Amino acid sequence: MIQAILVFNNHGKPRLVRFYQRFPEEIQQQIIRETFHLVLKRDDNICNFLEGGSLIGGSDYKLIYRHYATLYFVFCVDSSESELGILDLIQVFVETLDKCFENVCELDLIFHMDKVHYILQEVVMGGMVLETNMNEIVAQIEAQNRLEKSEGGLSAAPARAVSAVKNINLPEMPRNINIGDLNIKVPNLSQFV
Amino acid sequence: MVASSSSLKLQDLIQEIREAKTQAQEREVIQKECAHIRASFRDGDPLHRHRQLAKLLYVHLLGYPAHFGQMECLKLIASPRFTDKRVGYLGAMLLLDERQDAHLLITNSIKNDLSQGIQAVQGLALCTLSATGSAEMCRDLATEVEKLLLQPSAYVRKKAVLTAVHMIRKVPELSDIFLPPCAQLLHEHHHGILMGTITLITELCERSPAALKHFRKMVPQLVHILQTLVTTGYSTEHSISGVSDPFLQVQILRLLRILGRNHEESSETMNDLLAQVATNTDTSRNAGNAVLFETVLTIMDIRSAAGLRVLAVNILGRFLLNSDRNIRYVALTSLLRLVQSDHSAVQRHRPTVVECLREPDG
Repeated sequence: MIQAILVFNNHGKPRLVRFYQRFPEEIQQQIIRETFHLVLKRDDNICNFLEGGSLIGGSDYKLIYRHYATLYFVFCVDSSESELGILDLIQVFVETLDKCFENVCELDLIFHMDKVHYILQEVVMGGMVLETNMNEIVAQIEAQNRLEKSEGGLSAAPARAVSAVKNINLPEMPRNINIGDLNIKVPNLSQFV
Repeated sequence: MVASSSSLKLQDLIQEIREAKTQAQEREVIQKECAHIRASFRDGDPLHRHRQLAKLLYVHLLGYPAHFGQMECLKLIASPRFTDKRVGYLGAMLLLDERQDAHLLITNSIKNDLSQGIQAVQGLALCTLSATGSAEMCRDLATEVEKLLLQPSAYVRKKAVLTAVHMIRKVPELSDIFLPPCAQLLHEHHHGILMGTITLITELCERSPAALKHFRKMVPQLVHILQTLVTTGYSTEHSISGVSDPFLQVQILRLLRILGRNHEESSETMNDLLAQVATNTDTSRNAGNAVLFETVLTIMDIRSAAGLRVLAVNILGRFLLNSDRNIRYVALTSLLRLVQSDHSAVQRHRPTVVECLREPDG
């Protein structure tokens, strides 16, 4: 079972947090910090598995993570999950985000925190793998977007506002120096590594 | 009234928080906004409620207290609009605690949403139930979920199956309700439903020897499903780097391991298939290795033929020499498990293991 899914950036700022086992809120924040410090000190060329921190249950749990440019995607799982399988699952999730947001970057996760949750809900449910067929996930998300639009009103407008915010925002980032910095790089989209 | 007229949009709030230069400034922005959100909740403004909750969930992500939004989640869930329900359920999953009274209030809304015809809404209710359903809720809603297992919409069915798994974990007696539909669910072609069904059967087998005995009769069917996966080859829908639905393959291999353990006849039924998967899986990428590794573990765990065991140990040996550190990691951890049962087989790999000690990866 998947215990928790944590996404944070290179500075440890949480971008998506989902616990499938209940922890008090203070502990959740501590787990995020602990996990961040555990993965931060790892080089990019060493393996993507490590034992969970003491707060989440120690060696009974494994942290399986992938690091994309500015973001860490960490899945905390128990022994009933395949480590190598979860690595591919993270990739499925990220590629799905990429399809839903068109070249997903950290800003998309920040400004669409709710949408990211809704996408995740179509991949993992109750800590179990629900769907890995990206076409189907995207189709469901699009159907929900249509439903939301048909209800109109307050919720339909933000999309345009966000792209405006995004554009305003860009210059403040070191865009000219390293454009890749902002993007979650999914180097070979068509092929899993 | 002040609150609603000056109600910030979620994106505006995020923008403001991002502009804060210091931690103290950030705290100030958030405290000010939380006061607005509280006031708006107090005024009972239904128009902005979903926006207020979305903001509160963002604040919660950053580690600030958000428990005062719990009752608002319930109001949103009870709203007829999908947009309200969606953020309401999300809030319930993130903010509610099993021990709180709010939890009891949610049961009725979930019950209503499960029985109405919109699949997106049914999906939300199931998702919430599987994430936060307490034992009491599970008892109350089990028959509703059971009905959804045989619903025409595949989308609802696959979510109902996983909800059943959660319910059994919370209330083991509910196994009696969810065991019978499994046979029919195994005939599904939808991979998501099959995946969930295998998870459900695994859960049932791990909980009761009677269920284990029951599902051993289905080994030929499981073998057939896996066989079909292995031989149909590439499909754009389900393949990951050329391997046909590795997630489903891994899940079936794990179930076969449980069914074949200490059982001669079941082990023999899966023998040829395991040999086929062990020899034919493309291991140039992670997905193939995930399947192959799972196959090795299953071979070692069941009563497999001697030749097959040799093959499995050799594959592990190859894994140890793999250039991918993740593969070496799983190989080493599994050798650790095997060392008790197959001492001599593991001994042969001693030089390689010793070599691994030189790894920089502690």
